[in-house]
Amino acid sequence: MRILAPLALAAVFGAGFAVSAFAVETPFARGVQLYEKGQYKSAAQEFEKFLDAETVSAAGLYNLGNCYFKLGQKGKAVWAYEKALLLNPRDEDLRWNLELLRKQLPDRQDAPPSGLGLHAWVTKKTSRLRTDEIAWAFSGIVGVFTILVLAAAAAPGARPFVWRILFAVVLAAGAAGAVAWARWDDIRYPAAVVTDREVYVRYGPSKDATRAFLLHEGSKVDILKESAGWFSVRFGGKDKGWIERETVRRIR
Amino acid sequence: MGMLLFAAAAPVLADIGIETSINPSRGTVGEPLTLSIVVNGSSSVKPPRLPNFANFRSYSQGHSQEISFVNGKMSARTVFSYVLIPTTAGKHVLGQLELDIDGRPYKTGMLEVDVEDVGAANSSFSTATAPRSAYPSPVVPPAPRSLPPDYMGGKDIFVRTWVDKDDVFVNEPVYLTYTVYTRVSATFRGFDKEPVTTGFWVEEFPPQADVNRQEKEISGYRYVVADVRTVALFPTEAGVHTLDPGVLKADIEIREQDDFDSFFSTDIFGRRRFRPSSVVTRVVPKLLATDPIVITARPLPDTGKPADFRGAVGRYTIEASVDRTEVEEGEPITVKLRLAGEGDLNTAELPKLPEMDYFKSYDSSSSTNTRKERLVVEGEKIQETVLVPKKSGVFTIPSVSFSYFDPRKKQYQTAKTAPLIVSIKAGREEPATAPIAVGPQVPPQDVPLIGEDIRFVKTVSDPLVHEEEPLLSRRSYWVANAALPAAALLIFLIRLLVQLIRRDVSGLRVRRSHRVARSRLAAARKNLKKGAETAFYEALSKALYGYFADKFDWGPGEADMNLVEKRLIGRLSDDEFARLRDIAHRIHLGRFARSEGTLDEMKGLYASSDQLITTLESKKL
Repeated sequence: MRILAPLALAAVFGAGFAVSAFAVETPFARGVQLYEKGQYKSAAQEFEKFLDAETVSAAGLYNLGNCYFKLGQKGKAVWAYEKALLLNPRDEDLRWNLELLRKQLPDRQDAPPSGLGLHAWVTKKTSRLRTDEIAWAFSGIVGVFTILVLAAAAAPGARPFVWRILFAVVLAAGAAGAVAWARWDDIRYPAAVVTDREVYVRYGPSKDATRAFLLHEGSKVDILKESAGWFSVRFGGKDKGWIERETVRRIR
Repeated sequence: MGMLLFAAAAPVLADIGIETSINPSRGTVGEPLTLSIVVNGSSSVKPPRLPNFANFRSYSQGHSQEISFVNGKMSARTVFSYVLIPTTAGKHVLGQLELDIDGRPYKTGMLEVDVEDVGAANSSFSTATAPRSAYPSPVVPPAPRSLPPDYMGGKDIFVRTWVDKDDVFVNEPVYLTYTVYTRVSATFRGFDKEPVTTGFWVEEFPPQADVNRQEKEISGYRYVVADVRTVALFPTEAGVHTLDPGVLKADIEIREQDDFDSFFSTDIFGRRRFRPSSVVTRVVPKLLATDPIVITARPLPDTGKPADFRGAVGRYTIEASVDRTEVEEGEPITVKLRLAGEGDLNTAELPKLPEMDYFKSYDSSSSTNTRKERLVVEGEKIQETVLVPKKSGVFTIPSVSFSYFDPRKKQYQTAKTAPLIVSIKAGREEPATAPIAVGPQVPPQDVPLIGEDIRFVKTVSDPLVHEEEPLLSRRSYWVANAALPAAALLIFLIRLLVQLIRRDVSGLRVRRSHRVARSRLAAARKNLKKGAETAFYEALSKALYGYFADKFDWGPGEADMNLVEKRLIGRLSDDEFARLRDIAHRIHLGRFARSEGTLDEMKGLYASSDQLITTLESKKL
């Protein structure tokens, strides 16, 4: 017994050492460590490695946004936060950081005036839902509708009861449809963020075209269409023009 | 041919005639007038020496000459054109000019010109000369536009740049306009080389919805004149700045004569006359350069400079407002400062609110909105500051001042906001049952924000996911969400239809039941006549039980006496029930029992069955 106890302890510590020797440190973990030490540039590189071209993560993008913020690269920080917001719109830390950053941007971007107050109200109330969550909710309601109709087909005696439920389901589908409609602009026109310090938006897709207005880094624009390396964009819901593709980063 | 004519005939010249005219006869300070001197009757005219007209700046636009022979008589017409730009308003008299015609001196007549001031003239000028635009009239007076002689001489197309003034203060805008003069069909294609504007902050004006085009006669040629671009230049430092206006590019149409017709298309003087039927048009690109512009930017005067002056030049107003004038202690209010006016708002620095003991202030945010619709750079700059009151009472947010230099008045001005009065009510009272704490009691209160920074990074990662298009944008999503309920509805409708059809089939069976039973009875009688006993009883059974199956919509083989009796309770009398049971029993015996019935018995059974079915039919089951 006297021999067993130390042997057991050695086995436990040895196992722990063995586990830690085989533990793989991910770029995410390295990025966090570097950020804690204040090495924001290296931390940003680690988070960029963590997020490759095809996969994304809300935490990774949030952390990358923090690094860009600390490095003074506001445009890239806004881009990273906005991209993270698509994945996790209910993250309070993310919303706080993005709101703080927006206050520091030179171009004020007020909410565009909407022809219908309902649109703005629905958008505001559902801002914490992901677009895919809305889509699944709508599909769920459609599924319930389908089951109820099939039940009415199979059991004629149950029809009066089924019709009552179906009325409520149709109302719910209408509500979900209204939310999807409110999001339609975001889906139809992908957004982008200006990453150049200053960029002139022009009246045509050419450097010879007259300058229309000036945007600074961090400004968010809607991409209306693309042509020959230029984007036709809309800023603040009303000002339109053309901007070079290299001066912005697409959020989606 | 022309040379022979000159040798063979001595031309007879007409008498000398000199006409002078000025167009228009009423002008405006800064707007060009055209002085024309027409000499008839001589081809040997030396250009007159233009004197220095008082109250005018002047340039020669060159001259043109036409010589023609009519009935052996030669006539010559020479036109000298000059541009005169009045510098002062009033009635002016242009003195005589001296001409040398055929070696002899001549003098022109005197001309009177009425010149109005800019402000008085704007109301009487026709709209044909004012820029046509969807926006209100420009605020900046039009620049004086005169063309030096070297631009003349029949050039097809050229560009000229104008500045409204070339001597300004630092940060005072200079409006630079590019004007294209063309006498061929041309399309402006932008800039081949952008202007070099080092030392200036540049604000571009949007292209006008309708480009202002005018027609002007220069050196006997008709030009279309159009302003193609206007920018505002704000010099950022004092000194003499030479601005390279850049190089414009245009596509021009050149109309050329076919070679075949060239011999026939020249007159005796070798001048080409174009015949429309043989003209060929081609488009060629052309680069249009213009001369550098020198702008002198003077430093702002030190005399009278306010202490709070931060470099703003223009004309401004400032106002302050607060979103709420009555709040509770600890509730934030937002003070908005709005600076509006003409000038470079991007560099204008809004004043900070002074430190106030009764408010805690936080970082402010600002935004700038520039407008250029009136061909002037103007707009507003807004600064919002959040204040949190520290105690209750009525407090005044003092006025703030904004100093700027007005280049028109050439002096410093100071605009001030009105003070704002805010009433702060006391916060909520402490609850009666405060928790007992060790040590001094600290009343609970909202934790005030003393600074803002981003929140820390996430230390735990979430799973990596593939970036995909949103579901709502995928066609397959909408197809699936439409197809499933549509399929369900289709199934429902089909079921409904089947039920309707079945009900109808049932009705059809009921309606045909008696006829079918009659035909089966007829088959039984036939079998009876033939003596086919088994077939007789089978047919009779089918007639009876088939009649009930049709009436009650039963499947084949479903009908039996128990079911029949249950369905007929209350519909038949006891006697009729007894008859029914008897007939059914005898049919059953006939079918399955070994004993055979006599012919009479079978006939009797047939007759009873027939009668029974008739009775049942009359009951309308």
